[in-house]
Amino acid sequence: MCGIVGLFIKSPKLEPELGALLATMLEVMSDRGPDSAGFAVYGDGRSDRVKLSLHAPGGADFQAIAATLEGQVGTKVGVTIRSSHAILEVPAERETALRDALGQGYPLVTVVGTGARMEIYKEVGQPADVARRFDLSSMAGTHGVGHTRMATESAITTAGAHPFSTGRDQCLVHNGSLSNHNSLRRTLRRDGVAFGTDNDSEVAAGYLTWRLRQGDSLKRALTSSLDTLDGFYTFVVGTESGFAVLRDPISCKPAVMAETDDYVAFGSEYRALADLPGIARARVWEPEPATVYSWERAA
Amino acid sequence: MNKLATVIVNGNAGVGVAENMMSGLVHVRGDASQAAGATAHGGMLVIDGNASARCGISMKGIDIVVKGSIGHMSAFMGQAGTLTVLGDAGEALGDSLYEARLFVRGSVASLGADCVEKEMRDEHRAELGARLEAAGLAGTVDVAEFRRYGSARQLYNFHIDNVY
Amino acid sequence: MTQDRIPRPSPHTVPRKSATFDDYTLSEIRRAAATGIYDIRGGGAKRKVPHFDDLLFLGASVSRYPLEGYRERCGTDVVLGSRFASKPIDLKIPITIAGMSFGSLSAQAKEALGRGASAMGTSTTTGDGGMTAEERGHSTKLVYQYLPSRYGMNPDDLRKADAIEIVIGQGAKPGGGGMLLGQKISPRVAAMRTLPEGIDQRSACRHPDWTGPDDLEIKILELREITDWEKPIYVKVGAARPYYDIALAVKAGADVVVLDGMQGGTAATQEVFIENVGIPTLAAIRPAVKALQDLGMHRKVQLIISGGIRNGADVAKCLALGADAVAIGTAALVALGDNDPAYADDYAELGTVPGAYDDWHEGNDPAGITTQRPELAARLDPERAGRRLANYLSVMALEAQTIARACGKSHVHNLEPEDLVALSIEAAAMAGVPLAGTDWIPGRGPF
Repeated sequence: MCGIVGLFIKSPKLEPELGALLATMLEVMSDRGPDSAGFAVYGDGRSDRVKLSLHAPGGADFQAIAATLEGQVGTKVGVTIRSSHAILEVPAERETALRDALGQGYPLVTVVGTGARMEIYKEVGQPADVARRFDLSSMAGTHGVGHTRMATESAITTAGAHPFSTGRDQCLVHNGSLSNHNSLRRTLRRDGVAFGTDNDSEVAAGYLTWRLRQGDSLKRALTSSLDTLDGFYTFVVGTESGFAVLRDPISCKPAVMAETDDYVAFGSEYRALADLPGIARARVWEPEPATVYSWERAA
Repeated sequence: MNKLATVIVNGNAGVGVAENMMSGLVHVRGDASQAAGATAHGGMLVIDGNASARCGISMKGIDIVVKGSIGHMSAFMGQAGTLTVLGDAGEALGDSLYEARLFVRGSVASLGADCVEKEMRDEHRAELGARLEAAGLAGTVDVAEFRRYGSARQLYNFHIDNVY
Repeated sequence: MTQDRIPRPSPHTVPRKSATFDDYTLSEIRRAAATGIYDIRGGGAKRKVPHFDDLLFLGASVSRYPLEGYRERCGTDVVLGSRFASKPIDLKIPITIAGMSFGSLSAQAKEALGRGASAMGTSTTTGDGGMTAEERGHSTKLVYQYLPSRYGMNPDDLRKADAIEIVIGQGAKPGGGGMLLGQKISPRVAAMRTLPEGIDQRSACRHPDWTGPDDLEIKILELREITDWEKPIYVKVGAARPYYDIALAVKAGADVVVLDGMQGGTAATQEVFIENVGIPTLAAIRPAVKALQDLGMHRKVQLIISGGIRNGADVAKCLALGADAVAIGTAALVALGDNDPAYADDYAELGTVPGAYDDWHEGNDPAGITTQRPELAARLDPERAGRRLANYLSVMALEAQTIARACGKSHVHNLEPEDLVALSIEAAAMAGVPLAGTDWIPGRGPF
């Protein structure tokens, strides 16, 4: 149904190559998910500034939008345009003003992710095309996740593509199918978690966001999801400084991991990892069921 | 649900005072609201003032002494125990009564279905005297001034004439 | 002597009976005319109403995957009363035994219910008439009912119970009080209820010292104080206006709400009441769940559904619609032996047939269950009947698990309304699930 990939760089010398490596991994997973693709990259960022990843269906004149918004928000708005997406960057304290102005002036533009470092890009279409359109291979960063989607029970739209981000610098990609997402979505909505789709994976993302908001560590949040989320899942999750993998207790969906001194990599199939540097000497294993694997960067 | 305890209320009591009491004493120095002594199985409830509607509803063995008057539908479905009233009783006293015994000194506005006045025999005078004594009224009230009410036992089995 | 026959018209039509005045209706008119009193009987509504049979589950296939039967974990446990009680009830299966009094049932039947429920790790419930030593002794988890009549109600038994159920109404007769006819007021029953032997007992329809949610709140606090805040407090209502009734029970402080649909049984009530007051179980669940959701209390205050639960599919459907557990009464009696064809001759003598016997109030039950006659009650072996009930409960739990696994759930409580479709427009509207093969939920917009 889907292919997922993830790469967490341990050695700074590989950081400039993050996008290129991720793009290859994503493209190899095209057969598993020809409907849409998406990725999140954790690149440069400052804690006093915030990046909004925007999507406009069919594209938009983001330069003009940013110029208008600058007037309304009262600060310089940084703009990076990539195809149908743009990253707007402002001082963190102007985020609410920027969101309000966006919501009022440009209802068709959606915010697909927010964070100090995280940028999200996703689109309907063949994964290789999607990666090319956004020029993934030019991006640098410390870690990233990617997803190729074969839609199951929800619509093939940009909004329905992964990664799902329901919290600051948080994103999730999912392979599998949850069986209690409707009830859980209703409960989380009551607790103030917003959902934009009827996609089961977004509920998993929302659940983790909710747990993190309660003060859980990423590892604890994922451990608690073993009791709360039912059905089948392999998750790869990114936070500003962390990267984690979790498979459900039954673990039907394939998953393979590789670790060297330079990186930790995840793929739905080994072939996604085959082109990584030094893979022949890497420790390669299948993640155990119901076990949280997580890596954290030193702050 | 009082059991064993002695409770004295220095004033008025709200709805359902001494409800489902098992034993012991509840003494209200003022007035009591509705359903005083409701469903109580035992013990004694003394009310110095008046009691409102449904006093002794579904009583199951309690002895209630009200020095003032009681409201409507009192002793409704009373099963056992005694209700002694020094003042008057409101409408529909003892409606659908089982075996509770009612003693009223003053007037009764009306009797409920299946409640009738019954003869005061010596045993009843003795019983009433004992209740009055327990309520601290020995020698102050004459048992001869009371009339006794009880169940006509006509509702005990379903019959066309019992249906309204 | 010959007699002239009335000539038959030719060609003639076959005799046609009225659908409005059917045989049952005609017999009831004749019965009423002859006796001058309404018909009293036991059981629940017998008319056909939209029910769980009108719902189907969507098993897993390609878009989602099932769990292996017998191998992969599918939990059935449920905790009731975790909101305020310091000692909530932990049940192994989400199926409990509904309140049925000693008096309406024989002591042997009460013992059998306790044995069967305890063997399966679930609870049983007292009834209108107090707690007997036998049922306390044979029930590891016993819910003590607090009813308008307060027969046998006392603080000692309250403290012996594992939970307390404040009964406001039941599905067979929302708005009506209890009834136990004289044939069943044996010396022991009479003593427990402080009543004369052999009289026709009618209980009050309202609690004598409180009405409504504002007063109920005080009553719940009183019961909590007596039991040191240990016991879960249930509130049971008959299904009529479930949205408001459940919301108010929650606001009054209930730990658990019990909602009984019109198919739920009774020991004795007017037939006209049973058949014409209250709403079907299927129609009651969604408004109740909505009330809990609107208050943010779904799964925090547990919802027990009863009234016509017969098998594991019914259990699974209740849970999918949002219930936390179910309660069974009539079905449990049938498992013990009620209406068993083995007693066909005895039923014939009573003018009925196995499967139709509902004169539970008369105390002549050939199966020895709804009776106080010692020679009839002795027909029921509590141990054997208890085993039959345990078997039946086990089958129901296994059936519910089978369905949950097929829907890809590792716990029966993860079933959702979205796992269901309806076979009829009525059931679709009542349950709030789409008509099978469509995405249409009558009464709701497309999205």
